[in-house]
Amino acid sequence: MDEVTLLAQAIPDVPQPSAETVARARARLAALDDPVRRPRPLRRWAWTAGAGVATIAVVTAVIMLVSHLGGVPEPQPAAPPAFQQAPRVHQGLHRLAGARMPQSATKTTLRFRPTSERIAIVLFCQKPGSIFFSNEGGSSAGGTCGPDGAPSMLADKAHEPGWLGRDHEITFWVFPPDAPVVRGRKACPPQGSCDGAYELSGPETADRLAAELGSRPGAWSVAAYDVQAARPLHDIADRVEKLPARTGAYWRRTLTNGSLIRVGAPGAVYRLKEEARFDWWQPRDPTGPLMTESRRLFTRPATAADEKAWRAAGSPAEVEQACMGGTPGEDCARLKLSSEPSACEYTRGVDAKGLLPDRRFAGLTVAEVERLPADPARLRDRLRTLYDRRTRRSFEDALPMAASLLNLPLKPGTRAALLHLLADLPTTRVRGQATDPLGRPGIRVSFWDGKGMSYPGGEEAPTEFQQILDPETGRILAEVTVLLEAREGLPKGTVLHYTAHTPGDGWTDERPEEPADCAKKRR
Amino acid sequence: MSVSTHLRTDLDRVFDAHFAEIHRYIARRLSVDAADDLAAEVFLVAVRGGYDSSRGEVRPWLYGIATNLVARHRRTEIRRWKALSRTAEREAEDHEDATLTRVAAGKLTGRLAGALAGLNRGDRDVVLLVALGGLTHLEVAAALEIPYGTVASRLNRARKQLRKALGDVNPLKEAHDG
Repeated sequence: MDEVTLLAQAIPDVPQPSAETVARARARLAALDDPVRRPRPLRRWAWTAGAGVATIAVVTAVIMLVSHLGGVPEPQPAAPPAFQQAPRVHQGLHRLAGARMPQSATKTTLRFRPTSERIAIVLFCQKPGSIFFSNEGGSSAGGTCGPDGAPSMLADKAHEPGWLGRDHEITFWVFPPDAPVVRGRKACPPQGSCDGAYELSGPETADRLAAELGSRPGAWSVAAYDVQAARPLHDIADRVEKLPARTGAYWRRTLTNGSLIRVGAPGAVYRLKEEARFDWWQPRDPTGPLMTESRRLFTRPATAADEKAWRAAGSPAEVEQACMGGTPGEDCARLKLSSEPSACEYTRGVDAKGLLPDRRFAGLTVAEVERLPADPARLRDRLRTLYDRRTRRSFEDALPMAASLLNLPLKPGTRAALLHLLADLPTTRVRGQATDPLGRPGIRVSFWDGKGMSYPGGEEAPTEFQQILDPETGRILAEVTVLLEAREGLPKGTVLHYTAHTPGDGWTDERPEEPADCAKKRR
Repeated sequence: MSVSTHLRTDLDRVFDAHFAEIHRYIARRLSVDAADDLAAEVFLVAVRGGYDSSRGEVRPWLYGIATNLVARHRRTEIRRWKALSRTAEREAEDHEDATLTRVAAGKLTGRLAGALAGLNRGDRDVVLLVALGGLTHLEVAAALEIPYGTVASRLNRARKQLRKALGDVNPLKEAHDG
């Protein structure tokens, strides 16, 4: 999570403007009887951005078309031609969204959210040399298309900041090859027709041309293609669905948290590793006692090299964290080194609300979790009613955070449905095989845009927040913050912080016992 | 359809599509009362200035006008961020069922608001257009009519200040306290 996202969440939200406010504003606007200047259409035969940024060079990367000249015959039954149905896979990319039109001089709108910079928008037009035009907001593009698919200039847009990671809605028009269209950058009068020809420069002109032509012969299709990210998640879901349901008197959550902490003086910086354990006993019967327990396991030099640096500094028993410049002094903690478990605290008592831990998506009780549907679409509808609106996000923006529900005691069917749902989110990124901080094999996934900055070397470094899933049970083995670039001797991929679920997690008939060596804290 | 009807329809469409978000943007920077008045003003300015689609997308342009109007109330805005920085943290700690998450969130709000008050106007405009308006770098450049490179450098500067203010409050840690 980066500073700007945090800021957006931290600034208090406001209610929608009242109907009265809207009506008053509308009335003020209506009272203004000012002739509005005629919208002047854009004059570019390529994707264009707003006037303020027209100077930015757009790098053109033409997608190479692969033609199937000879080679091995396709074993499948003959697929319909691409202009009738955009193929599911094109040049190794998978179809995100597609539309087909049986006739030319027509338009259709494609809605999709790109998942990678490899995104390609491809038009397949039955008649070679057909003319296409596309528009999204103030950006337009045009060109010609044929049965093999037109090169997509949209691929370049993926390199513009902010183009990825949001929904797009692009309207496409296709006209016959002989349609009266002006090509090139010839300026036309604003009415949109020059010598009877049309300059395709905005949706209005394209609509007028379509209206004039009526529908013409010539089928076409258009599709957005991107890398298919999430097959492994669907596979996990299919396995999980067959697992037996479990239950017990208590649901137990045992976490091990680990952090790398930068300490020492400038020029003699080294790192400590701190590990803490956090136990949570949630009673199935909400009138039973809830118990939580936390203890620090150790705080010690992270590696042999760090230990050497610590000895060189005189083996201090207490060290000061190396903080960012500007951090208030009281926040720059002093740490006591210890190789023994210490600082143990526990709480015990009946919790009236009975909410399970991990409330990043919503605070839920055991009963609520057990009632969650086992079908992806119905689960999605239910989640819409449950998500924590205090985060002030739209449901669509909050949905990736539903991955945190994988930490809760879901029934196998619900867990499978949730995995299918998450797999289909455009924000989900499967990063491949991984080993979690406790040495267990898993699959590394980034469910939400967890890119952030950390400062392991006093200077910022890009990091990513990831989940490592157990491929058999679909549970989260660990959540990790990893370095995306090497910094101050730490290699790329170093885990800066982790939360690992220790074996022993889950339903049990054991009951929590008050620990003898631990200080009781009031809840 | 006559030309003026056509344009009027266009304007109505722009108003319907964007009034609520422009109102929200201003209300979050100043106050709901101020937004009730200024959001309407944004659309009046847009019409008087001549809404011209060759300028690019309408939305960044409206945000640009809103930002210029907010600038006239600069002192009100800074007072607001300072007040928020004082109260957010205290409220969070005083709250009866103060959970760790809530306290952390209150601290974050307080510190971020304090940092906002300390930013210079240009940097604050850029970071709030991104954070509250969800504008891309390109759109911010169009909205404020400044070069793209300037957007990036202002945003970097603002981020750095915010990060400083956050210090060691690690927002990711809240995930681990249950």
